[in-house]
Amino acid sequence: MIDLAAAGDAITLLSANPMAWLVVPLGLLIGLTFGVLPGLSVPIAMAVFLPFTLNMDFLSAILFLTAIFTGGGFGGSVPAILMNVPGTTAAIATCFDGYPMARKGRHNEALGLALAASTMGTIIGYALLFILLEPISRLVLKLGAPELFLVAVAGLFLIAALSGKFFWRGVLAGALGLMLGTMGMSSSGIMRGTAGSMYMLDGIAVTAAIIGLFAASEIFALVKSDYIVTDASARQVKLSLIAKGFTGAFKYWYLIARGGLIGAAVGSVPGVGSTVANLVSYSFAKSRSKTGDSFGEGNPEGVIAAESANSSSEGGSMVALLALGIPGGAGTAIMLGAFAMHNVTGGPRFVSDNKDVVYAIIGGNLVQAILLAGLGLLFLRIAVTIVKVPLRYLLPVITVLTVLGSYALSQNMVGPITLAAGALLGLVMKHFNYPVVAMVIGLLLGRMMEGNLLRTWQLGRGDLTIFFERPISVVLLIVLCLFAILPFVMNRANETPKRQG
Amino acid sequence: MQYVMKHLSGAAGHLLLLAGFAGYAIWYVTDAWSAQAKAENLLLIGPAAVLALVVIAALIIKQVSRMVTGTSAEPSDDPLENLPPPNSFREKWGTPLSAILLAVYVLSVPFIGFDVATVTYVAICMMLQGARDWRIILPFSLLAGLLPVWAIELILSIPIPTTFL
Repeated sequence: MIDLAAAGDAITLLSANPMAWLVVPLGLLIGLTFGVLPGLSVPIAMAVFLPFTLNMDFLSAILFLTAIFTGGGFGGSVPAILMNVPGTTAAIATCFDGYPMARKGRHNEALGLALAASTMGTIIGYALLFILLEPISRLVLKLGAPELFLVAVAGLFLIAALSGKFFWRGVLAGALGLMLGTMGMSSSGIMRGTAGSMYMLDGIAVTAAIIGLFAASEIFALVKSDYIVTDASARQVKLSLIAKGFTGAFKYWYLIARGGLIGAAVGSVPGVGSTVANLVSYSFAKSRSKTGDSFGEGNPEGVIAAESANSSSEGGSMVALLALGIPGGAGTAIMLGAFAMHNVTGGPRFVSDNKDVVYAIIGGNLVQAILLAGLGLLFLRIAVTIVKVPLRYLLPVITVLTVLGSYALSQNMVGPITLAAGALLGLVMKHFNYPVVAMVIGLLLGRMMEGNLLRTWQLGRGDLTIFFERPISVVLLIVLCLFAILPFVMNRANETPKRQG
Repeated sequence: MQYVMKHLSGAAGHLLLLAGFAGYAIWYVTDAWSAQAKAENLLLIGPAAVLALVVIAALIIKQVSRMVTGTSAEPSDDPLENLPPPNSFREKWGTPLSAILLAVYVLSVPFIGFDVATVTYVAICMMLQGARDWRIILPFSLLAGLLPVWAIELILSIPIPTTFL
C-alpha cells in the first residue's frame, strides 16, 4: 500500500523546498484569523489568497492552501467556544459543550482541549490518507447517488440523537430545514420558492442563515450580561491553563482516535464533509460516554469528539481531490483551482505518476499539524483575552462582523437579510424549545439529498427499489435501521434496572 | 405592551409559530407543484412537507389540549432563559430590542450605506447595554463601524454600499 521509494523522494522534495516552509506558518495564521471571524469562512480565505499561489511552485501552493484549511478548521472553534458562534459550519458541535465550559470560566481549558483534538485529528486524517489512499479512493468511486443519499439520511438521523426530549420538534425543524435548503433552482432546472426574485435562484444563503440561526439566540441573550464569563475571578487568561487543557486532552486518547477515524471516513464522502463529521462524532461520543447525561452542559469529551472529527475530515476530503480529482466541498474546490493554475489534473493517473508529490503533500500536512499546536497556543493566548472585554464593546463588533461577512459572501444584501431573518427565527425557535441544529442539518443537506435522490430515481427509471439492489446501499440501509432501533433498545435497557431498583 | 408580550411568549406565541411553519410548508409545496407537477420535482419536498404538516398538526393538538386543561408550557432548556425575573430595563427588554435593532440595521443599509448604518448601530447597541459616556461611545462606534467596512472594501476588494467611505 505504501511505496517506500516514493516516500523517500517525498522527504527529499520537502527538505529541498524552503519556500514551502515559509508559506506554511503564514497560511496557518491566515486560516486561524479567518476561522475566528464568523462569516469570513475558510473557503473565502483560500479564494482571496489563491492568486498569490501563482508565483509559487505546485507543492508550496498546495501546502499554503492546506495550511489555511488546517488553521481555519481550528480557528472556527475559538468563537464557537467563547461566543457560541461557530466560526465555520464544521464547528457546530464544538459549541454544544465548548460554550457551556466557557460560561463556567473553563474557557482556557476548553480551547486547549480543542487545539489538542484538532492537532491530533489532522494527524490521524493525513496518516490514514498516507496508508489507505488507494483502497479508499477505490471505495469512494463505488459510492453512487443512492449511497450518497443514504449517507445524508444518516446525517439527518442525528436529529433524533441531538433533540433529546423534544424529538418531534427536532423532526419538524429538520423537515423545514430540508425544504428551506432546496429552495431556488432544482437539480432538474425547475425554480421553486423564489417568489419571482432572481436573488433566490441560488436558494437560501446557507452560511448566513446558519450564523444567524446559531448566533442570534446567544448574542441577543448576552445583552443582559456584562461579560461572557459572569464570575470575575474566573475571567483569567492563562497560557498554563490552556496548556493544561492541551495535555489533558490526551487522557481521552480513545475519543480522539475514534473522532479521527469517523472524521476521515465521513470527510472522504464528497459533499458531506466536516460539518456532518463533527455531528456524527459528537452524537456517537454522547451515546457511548458514561457521562453522556452531562453532554451539552460543558463536558470536555464533547469538545474533543467534535474537534478531532472536523479536523481529520480534512485528510478525508483530500482523498476525493487527490485520487479522483473531485472536490468534496468549497475548500477542496478552490484547491482544485490551484491544481488547474499549475496545469495539474487530480485523479488516479496523478496519484500513480506523481506519488512522491502526493506523499510530500501528505507529509507536509503532518508537519503542519505539529506547527498548528505551537502557533495555536500562542494565538489562543491572544484570542482568549476576549473574555476580559465588556460585552457592550464586544457584541456590537461581533454582530457587525457577521453582517459584513455575510455581505462579503453573497456580495449583495441577500446575505445580511438572510442572517437577520435567521437570527429572528433562531431566537423564536430556541424560546419554544425547537432544536436549531436540526434545521441547520436539514439546510446543509437539503440540496445534496435532493440531487442524489433525483439521480437515484433516474438510475432506477422511476423505481426506488434500486436502493435494495446495490450491496453498499443495502449495508447502509441496515446501518440506518440499526441507528433507528438502537436508541429505543438502549432506553429500554436503561429503564429495566431502574424499574427493578 | 407587556400583556401582548406575555401572550406571545407563551402558548399563543407557540401556536402562531406553528401556523407560520404550516403556512410556509403549504406555500412552498404548492409553489413547487405549480412550477412542475411531476414526481421528480417533489421527490424530497413532497414527503418533507407531509411529515412537517403531520408533526405540526400533532403539536397544535397537544398545545391546545394543554391550554384547555390549563397546563402551562414546559420550561425552556436554555439556562439563560431560566434566570430569575428581570429587574432592569436591559434585562426585561434587551433581547427583543436587540433583535429588532439588528433587523432595522440590515434593512437601513441600502438607504444610508454600511458606514452610517454600522456606526449608528454600534452606538445604539452600546447604549442599550448601559454605556452612557459619549466620549467613549462616539470614538468607539466610529472605529468599530468604519474600520471593518473600509477593510472589506480595500483588502477584500468587495464593493459595498456606503454614503461617505
